Amino acid sequence: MKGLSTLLVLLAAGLWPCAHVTYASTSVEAYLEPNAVSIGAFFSGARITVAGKVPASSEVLITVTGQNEDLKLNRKGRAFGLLWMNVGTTTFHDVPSVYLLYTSESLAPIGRDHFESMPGGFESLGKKTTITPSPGEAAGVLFKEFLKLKKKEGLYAVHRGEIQYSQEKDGEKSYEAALRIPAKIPPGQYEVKVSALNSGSVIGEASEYLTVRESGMPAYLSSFSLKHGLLYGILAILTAIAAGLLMDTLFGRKGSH
Amino acid sequence: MLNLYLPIAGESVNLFVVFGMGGLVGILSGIFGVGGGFLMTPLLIMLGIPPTVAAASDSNQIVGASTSATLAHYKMGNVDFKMGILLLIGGVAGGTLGVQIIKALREVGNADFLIQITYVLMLGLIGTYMFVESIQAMRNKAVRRSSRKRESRYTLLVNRLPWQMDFEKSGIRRSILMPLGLGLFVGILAAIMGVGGGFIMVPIMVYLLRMPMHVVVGTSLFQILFTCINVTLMQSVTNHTVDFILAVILLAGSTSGAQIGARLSRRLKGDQLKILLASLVLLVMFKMLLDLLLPPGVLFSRTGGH
Repeated sequence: MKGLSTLLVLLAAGLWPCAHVTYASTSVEAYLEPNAVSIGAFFSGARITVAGKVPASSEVLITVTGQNEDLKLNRKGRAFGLLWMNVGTTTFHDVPSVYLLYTSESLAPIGRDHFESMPGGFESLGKKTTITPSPGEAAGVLFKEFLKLKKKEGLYAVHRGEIQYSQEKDGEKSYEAALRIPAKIPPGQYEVKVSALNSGSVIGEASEYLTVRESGMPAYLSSFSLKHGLLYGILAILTAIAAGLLMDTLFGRKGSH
Repeated sequence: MLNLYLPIAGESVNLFVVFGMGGLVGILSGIFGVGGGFLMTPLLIMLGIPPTVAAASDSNQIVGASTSATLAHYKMGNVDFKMGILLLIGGVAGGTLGVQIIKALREVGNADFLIQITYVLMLGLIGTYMFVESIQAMRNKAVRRSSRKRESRYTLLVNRLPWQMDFEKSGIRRSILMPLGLGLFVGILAAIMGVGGGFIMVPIMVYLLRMPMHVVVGTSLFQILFTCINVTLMQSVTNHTVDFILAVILLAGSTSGAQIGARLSRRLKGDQLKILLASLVLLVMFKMLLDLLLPPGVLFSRTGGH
């Protein structure tokens, strides 16, 4: 599917001889700095810079996507027509764990609704997603609710006006974007895709990869908790008791004076 | 603004916000003899921490807060160890039984409905009863005298039970079967509802065991300490959901809060304590009722956890 659409885009780009574009191919360049983010003890999100060149007539859209996964969620519904509670589960198949969109200021005034329906927007993602148990007509409503949860968690987001352009030269222009990476991002590999858009369709793309990994204290603690659950639990309990004893000693002294 | 990354929760939090939350809940714990999970877990979820991690890390934190508060209350002579240990034995047995019951209920279906309705009804009944009773007791001692007469059949029954034992700290004589049986009952309910049980235990000690309010608070904390040690250990081994960093920040606040709470508790009269706790119970009940009645903001939630 993905290959086919890329092919179509390339074909379309090649077939439309735009009058004001003088160069032959729609080349898109993208560089990532840094291309790895490490989650340390004081990690609270990061910024990565994406820069490069696109055709002068185009607008840039950047997406950061995580690996696809099947996500099983509790679904709330009305029990006995009165009380809202979990009534079952719904699985969304092949949805990216993370989906962050960044646009330039000049795309921003178009409005959120239109933006979501653009190529690479949330709407196109919704059309690709299969849901079990099959909801039939309600698929659109369920996907909207899925988006709500992901947006609330900060794992799906639209950041508008994050891309800056500099002056045009030889039918090309440079762009630069400082992408906000949320603290909640799970470790893994992410695709950073830069798309050049012209009147709503993609005319060129370039991809880079971003690696997110835990380091230092967080890396040590999460592997310790998985490998030695019992010892981890005992140490956690002893720490808590020690803190309680310490505080009692401190306060006890204060009370006796 | 100092942010720390929580490796198990996978989220970054502000050190001072979490420390403050720990302190606040620690004070409540020290005053009322409850763990405060009903308050802490939703607060942590609001910060973006997954529900399962929030509940498990909170139980780790309560170990520290209840150690601190139990010691403070022990120095004031408020902990009845004999009663606490008997209730605990019943509670552990009840907890094990409760886990099996909930498993069976889930297979039959509609378990969640049953659990939430039970929870709301229990909180409503306990809260209302405590509230009305303590207001009457404060206003009019005559009412208390007449109610004593009405309850005499219960007293008679209690006195007839075999294996009577003296509980010096509480100044009462009860059958050993009472704390064991009531502990079992609370253990079952707590396991089914997925809560620590301090909420149900405190009123039961006050109204069914007829222990003095201040001893109730200290003894409840002593019990919560052991319940939460058990929960922390189980969660670490089976689900790996205890976030050590989160627990440590909470601990720093809650262990000192618990000391302050224990001292505040000393200044309040038994009936005042009861009214305040009843209001807290009713508030939680209304919040749960609203959650059930109002359409949710988001239809989906992550699986696992309560």
